[in-house]
Amino acid sequence: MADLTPLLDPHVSLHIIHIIGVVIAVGAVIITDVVNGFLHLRPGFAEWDAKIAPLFSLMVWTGFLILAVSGTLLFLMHPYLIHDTLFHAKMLFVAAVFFNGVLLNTWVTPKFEELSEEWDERTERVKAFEVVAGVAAVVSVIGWMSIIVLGYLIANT
Amino acid sequence: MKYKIALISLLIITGLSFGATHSSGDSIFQLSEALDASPLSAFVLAFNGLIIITSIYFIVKITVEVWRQHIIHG
Repeated sequence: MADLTPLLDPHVSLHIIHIIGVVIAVGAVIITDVVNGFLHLRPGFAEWDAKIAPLFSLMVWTGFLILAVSGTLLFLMHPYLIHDTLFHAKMLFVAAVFFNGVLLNTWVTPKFEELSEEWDERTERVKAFEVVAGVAAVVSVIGWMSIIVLGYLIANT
Repeated sequence: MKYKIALISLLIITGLSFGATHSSGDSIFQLSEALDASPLSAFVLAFNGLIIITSIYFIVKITVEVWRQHIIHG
């Protein structure tokens, strides 16, 4: 019989919940970028993409919520982390990804829904939007990957 | 529907916040130690609170929109 008692330790269980949050959020970010990259090659999928994009956003915010709640509790267990430079760097990336996510949900996603019908025509508005959305996507991926690397280093150094 | 989701989310967050802030001296959640360690701790906790509130807002908003689309278009 496997020993599951370590799960009763809040340090272990909260770390697991924190990692589940990362998997949900980063998984949704990666699939969003892959679908959007595919959209650049096959513009005909724009309306379909506009319909399912909210579900990916929902996953990212669910992951964010799990991360913030478990992260707060983990921080309260390890308050000395506040003196760690790596933790400062991680929180800066979290801030970048968070505000980028707010921008994506308040401006990029509604704009994409608005432009999806003219996506095939590759209008100037669509091209300009693609540049902004591309920058936001790059910030998102680099930010999340940096958070993972820094989180691993904080936990293991 | 959206009010139920918001209420349940708020109850969960309130419960977690209550548990974290009302922890006793021997608790694993060291709020006073964290706040004593550096003024930055309060900023980190407040920022996490902002993320939690914003996440709940977007989760409720998107869920309601997706549900509404489902009701309209089937």
